[in-house]
Amino acid sequence: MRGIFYLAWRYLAWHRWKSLILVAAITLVVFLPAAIQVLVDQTAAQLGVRAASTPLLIGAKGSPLELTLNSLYLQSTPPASLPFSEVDMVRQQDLATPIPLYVRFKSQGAAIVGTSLAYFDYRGLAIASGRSMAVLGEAVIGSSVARDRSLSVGDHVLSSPESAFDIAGVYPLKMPVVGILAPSFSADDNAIFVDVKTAWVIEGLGHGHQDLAAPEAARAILKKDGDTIVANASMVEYNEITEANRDSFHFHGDYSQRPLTAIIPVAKDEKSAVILAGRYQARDDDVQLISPPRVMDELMATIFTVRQFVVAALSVVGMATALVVILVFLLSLRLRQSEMNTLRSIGGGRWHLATLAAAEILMVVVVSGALAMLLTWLTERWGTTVIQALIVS
Amino acid sequence: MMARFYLFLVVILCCAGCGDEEVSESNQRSVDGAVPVVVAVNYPVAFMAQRIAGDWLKVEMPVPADVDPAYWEPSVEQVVAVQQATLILLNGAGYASWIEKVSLPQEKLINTAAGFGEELLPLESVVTHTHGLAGEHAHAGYAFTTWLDLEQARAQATAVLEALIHLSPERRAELGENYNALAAEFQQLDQRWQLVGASLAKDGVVFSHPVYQYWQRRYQVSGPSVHWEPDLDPGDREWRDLDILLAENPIRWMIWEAEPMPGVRAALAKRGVESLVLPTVSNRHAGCDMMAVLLDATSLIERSL
Repeated sequence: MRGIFYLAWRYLAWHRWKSLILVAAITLVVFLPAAIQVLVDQTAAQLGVRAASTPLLIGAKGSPLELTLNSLYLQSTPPASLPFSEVDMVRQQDLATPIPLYVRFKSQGAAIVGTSLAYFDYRGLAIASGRSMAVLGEAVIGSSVARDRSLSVGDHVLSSPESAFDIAGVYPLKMPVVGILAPSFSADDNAIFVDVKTAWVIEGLGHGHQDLAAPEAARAILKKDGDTIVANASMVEYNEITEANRDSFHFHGDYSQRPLTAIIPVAKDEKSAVILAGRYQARDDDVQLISPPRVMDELMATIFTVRQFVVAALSVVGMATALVVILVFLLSLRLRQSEMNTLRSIGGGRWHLATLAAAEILMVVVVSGALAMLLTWLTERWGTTVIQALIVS
Repeated sequence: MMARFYLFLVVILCCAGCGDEEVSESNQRSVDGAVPVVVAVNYPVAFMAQRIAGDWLKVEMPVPADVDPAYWEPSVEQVVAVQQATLILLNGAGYASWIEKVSLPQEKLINTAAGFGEELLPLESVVTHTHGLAGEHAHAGYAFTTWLDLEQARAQATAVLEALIHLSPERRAELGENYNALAAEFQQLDQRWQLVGASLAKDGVVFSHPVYQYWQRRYQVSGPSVHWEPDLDPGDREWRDLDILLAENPIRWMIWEAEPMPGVRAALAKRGVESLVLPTVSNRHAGCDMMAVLLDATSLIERSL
């Protein structure tokens, strides 16, 4: 038997290109449906866990998927904003603790999440080094941001302008890193967290500048008319909040009208969640309460449907491939007729010849199967991150 | 408008009969969960919380006794300490602007003035300025000595009561009892101030600082305000301005936050203006609680009228 396997191996090695093509074809036919199955299942599980931990989400009326992706996965374009007064409204109902979210700005691609301290407790995020933000302008960064940018406590991060062509837009804000989160293996690892008020400063709703009533600001005054002072372009606006200038920072407009992208209402219990959901359903204004698990289930259902089509198509391709492989082997046997005659001449029986052909097929199939398993394992190990990024973007 | 920072003027009043002060300045709070810690941004709110709660929680006001809580700025360490509190009681009306510049747990913040937000008085005479895209705007706010209107003080105490009941529903009866006692004291003083106000309004009043807006509105005592510090001579210019004011308005009383310098008191008396002290009690007084300070001051005023 060893001789037969040796002959089969030598044949496959001699015709290496034909053998490699056969192995590659069979490997792909086995690997692709398995990989799709693994990726979809893992993505569904990961997205589902995050969604399941956020059963309710309040936002402005619009795409629930966009709201969910922005608020839970810190991706996608920002949804329409809702006023901060909504936080007070949730609080007054005494059914849930509202956690404000303002996920609009970025720093070198990383989402800047304007929120409150309650977010860290809610997501179970622990500070690995440093501390949580305490004063306006401070930032706590996710573990991946710290690792990728080699940042540590005491370094700074800079908010990115929303548009390179918006030269009249808000200044980038330089924020000291006061804390680094422990890895949570979630979207939070890739985010930068600031107080929601700091996010409003980034937007320009709050800012700090020279005291225009002070004598040293005389050069920055364009016009003075009674109690009204008009400043010129030379007025110094601060792009970093420091201990020295913190007092000069102030906000404009009504506090209750400042924008948020979402509110996570952490309901007291199941009953409170149901009551809250009911109250929002009864409202006919521009605010909606959605269920992220339901939104993600719908997204996953769409993906599962697509997967079924893809797997069905791949199955047909697999059958066709199997037929082609069989054809290749049959043609190969015909082309090898003289070789078979030689084997018969030196004493090889029909059984030996059949075993030799089977051994060749078996070796190709085993190698292909092993390769397909290896690739599936690699996909299981590292493929989810890639596919999740593809889905959410 | 008042300067952003100035040393708070310690009121030196006769404190006979004052009880022990219970509101703590300490930032070292228990984190073992055994004793809830309530942080208040000023003394009136801290006083209300302590009176209503009794001994089952610790009320702290992390502002040094010689600093006006309205203009106090905490260090990062102090902010981190405040973040650990069970409740953070705000005065409202924009009091303690540091609140806007720090990260505090939203769910712990209680705005005690929320119930009368519509009735807050905007500050007058603020500088409006224009720059950038923000358009014309002013860094102004509201008058914030809300508790000097004792009806508003009662509303703030009600907000404190509700927050404490929410924190400890099983103490509802005890808290309600304490609140009723405090509200009754507010009501009695309110009635005395109504009479004081009626008497003062007849003679004309000038205020040493523009911090009595709600007191003026509630007790119907109108009058101009100057910016005089009790521990400083106002200077020639201020005296000249006062003389002009006196020439235009019949004024017999000047209301001070604290006892003025003897020389200033005498110089005013020469002009026919008598000094009265009505402390704002924004910060704690050594050995005296808020009601004791206000009752003593009221008795002195009543005797003077």
